[in-house]
Amino acid sequence: MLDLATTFGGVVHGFGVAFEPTNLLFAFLGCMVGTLVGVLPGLGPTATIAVLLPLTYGLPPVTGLITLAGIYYGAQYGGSTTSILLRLPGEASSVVTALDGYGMTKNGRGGAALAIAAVGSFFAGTVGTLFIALFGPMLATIVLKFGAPEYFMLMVLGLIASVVLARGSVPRAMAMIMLGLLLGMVGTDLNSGQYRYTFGSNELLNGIPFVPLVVGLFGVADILGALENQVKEKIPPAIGKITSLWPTREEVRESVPAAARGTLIGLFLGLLPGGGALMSSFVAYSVEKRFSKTPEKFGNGAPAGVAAPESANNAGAQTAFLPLLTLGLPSNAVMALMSGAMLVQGIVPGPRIMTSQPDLFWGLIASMWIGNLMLVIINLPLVGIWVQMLKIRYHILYPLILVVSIVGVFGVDFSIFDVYLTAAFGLLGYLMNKWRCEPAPLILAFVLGPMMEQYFRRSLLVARGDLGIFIERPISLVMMIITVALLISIALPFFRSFRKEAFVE
Amino acid sequence: MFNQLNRRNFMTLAAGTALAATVPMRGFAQSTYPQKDITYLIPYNPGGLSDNISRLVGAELTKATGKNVINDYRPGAGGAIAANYYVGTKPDGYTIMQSTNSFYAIIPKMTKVEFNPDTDLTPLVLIGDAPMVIAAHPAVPAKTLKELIDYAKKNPGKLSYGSSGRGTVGHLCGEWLKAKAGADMLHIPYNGTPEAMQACISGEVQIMFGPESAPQIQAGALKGIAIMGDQRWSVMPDLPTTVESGIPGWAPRSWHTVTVLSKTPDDIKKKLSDTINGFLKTDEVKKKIVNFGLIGGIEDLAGVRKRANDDAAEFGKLIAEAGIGLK
Repeated sequence: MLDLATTFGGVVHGFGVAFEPTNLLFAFLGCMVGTLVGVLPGLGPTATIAVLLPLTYGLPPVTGLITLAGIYYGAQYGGSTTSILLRLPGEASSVVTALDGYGMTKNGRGGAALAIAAVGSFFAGTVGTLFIALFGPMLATIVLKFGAPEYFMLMVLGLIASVVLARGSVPRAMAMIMLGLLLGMVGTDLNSGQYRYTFGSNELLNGIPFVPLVVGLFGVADILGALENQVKEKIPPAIGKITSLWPTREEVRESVPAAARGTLIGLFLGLLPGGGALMSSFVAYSVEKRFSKTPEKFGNGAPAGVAAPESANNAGAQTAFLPLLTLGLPSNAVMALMSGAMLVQGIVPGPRIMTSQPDLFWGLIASMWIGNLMLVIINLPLVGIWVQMLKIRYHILYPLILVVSIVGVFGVDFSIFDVYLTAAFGLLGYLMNKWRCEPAPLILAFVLGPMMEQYFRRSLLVARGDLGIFIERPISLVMMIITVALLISIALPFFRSFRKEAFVE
Repeated sequence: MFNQLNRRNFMTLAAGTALAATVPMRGFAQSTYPQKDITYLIPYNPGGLSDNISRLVGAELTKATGKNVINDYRPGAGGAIAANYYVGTKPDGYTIMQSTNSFYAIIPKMTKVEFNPDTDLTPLVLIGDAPMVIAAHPAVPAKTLKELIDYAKKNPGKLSYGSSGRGTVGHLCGEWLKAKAGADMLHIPYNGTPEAMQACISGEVQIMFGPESAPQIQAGALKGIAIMGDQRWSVMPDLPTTVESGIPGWAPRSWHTVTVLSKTPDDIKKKLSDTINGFLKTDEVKKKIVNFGLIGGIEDLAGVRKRANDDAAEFGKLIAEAGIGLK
């Protein structure tokens, strides 16, 4: 199965291609542009690549794709910068980074958080590239083992695990999950074409858009809360004094194993279409919190809570290429754009691309590692500059954040309706803070809910209505057992304390 | 390179305008239209086939007119959101829409829309037909269309087919085959073509319709059964058509066009149609259309309208008989 000689030859060939000066230059440009654009909230990798796609038409195919790949990593990475410093996740996969990344920023460790994210991402990228080169074609077949029932169980597992995300009470987290599921129901039903909760509005036919929800619940709500404190307590909201820009020895010790575990999770979940990147960062975070000796530190700036999801989503970003490169199946919106870019160049993405386009296949893989290296080189010096932003006084900073966010939200679909939605979700987020409800489980449920419904109904269609399909398929069964075990482990302490209270009275 | 913009591309707008100014006016030199930039409405997400086509057509239009063509993406509801928005714009020829025959023949029958394709929309050209290949999972014991139909009849309810969504041409191809063969097959809608393709390769569904299966068939992951209609495809010249395989007459088809509002002045319609047809005939553009996996063809305004009307009648019958239309 594992043909080392071919792989080795391929990798050497790939580095030959990727190290050509033009390709190096364009990989650098891609990473640079991606980082800068990714920092703007709302402009994630998909939007950035969609904008810059025509620039690659004049380039040779390999160079064009290397540039796009660079933009992709760059934008992915840039998104976590605002997540960490301003609690403004630009996209789904950096939502969890905001929890502890911003926590570290508040403690004055923003620079360290950025450094951990950069180095963790590089580590994950390196492992991811190696992994793809060695096991690429084999892994692709795993993707095909995942049918509708497997995806459904995986998402149920992810959703239950997200209860762990919440710092506070389990019932509150459950309530937020339910609210997220409900919000996710809005739109057109895939199977029947019926409209749900659209209230006759054309804008809601596609469902509630993601960016306004996230910017509202995180960014806007946070600003509202800070302003209220300022008015009530007469204390200006301040971000902890920045101590050192670099991680302390303790922070490094906590981050390293977390990054390794996150990478492992990301490698596998990244392969799966749709929610791969999102699931990997959420799951990596949940795992760290669940098995941490100090789970109470999570949410207040635990370095492991930055290292794990950042490594996971970067590892996932690498392996997301595999289905496209080995099967011709794009696994997310960015990969669909890449596949479109190949078609423009006259390359049909398909199972034979590895043999028919070895330059492209191995060149792209080698450039993944080079791109990740460049990201570290670009971003580590930038850490100091980004952190300077926090020195701006809050009453100047917050209107800036608001304006940039709203421009970002408006820029996604050029819809003023989305701006109103952002305001509404900002208010909801503010109230949720008052009620001590966490937005993270809501967002996960919002994204996973509609997918879960689709996979569930599809499973039943495939099985002609037989629920047994979830038990008959081994992968699905194993995930079901893990889910039940997890549910019990969450519920037990809750019931125990309930009974204790009951006995006291 | 820069003169093809989309509306998010505010950063390169300045650069694009500067570059476009240096492009000499050709083709439209003696005319008054166009005087300003043209907005190109794309009813789907960036990156798909329609986007690729629009970028090609837009770049060629810019070459021919010296005006920028700015892409405006309004995806959603299978294209209905863009079309609903489009009928509210000014019919002056400065907003054109990338579209397929679905806008004329399927969407208005399956979704609540605010336009009437017969009176509101006019197709300008035929950019190309997307060859609808019938592909099957290798485990299906059938090599020809006849064998497939026989197998489906002997095993009612056993075969299922995947589509990129409800009300897509792929979905209706299945309904058509069911009606023609008198066989019972189950439709399973997916969220886009890649998901459906993955399901067909792994065997979750057995059949799939569309041009995207070509590389999978060539690699042996799926097998080709036939191609819908009466035109063979140069990419897979050995694949017989459904007409050759014994089902005569119209078959569901999918073709790409550029649409304007019907109220647009006739001379602008004709000018746009002639200009686009002008570059569709060049070897360079023809080659790109083939690369996109389309079968090129040229139709004038009357010819492409007839195509739209034929499809509206045939798809209409199919949708009504299958009972899947708007209630």
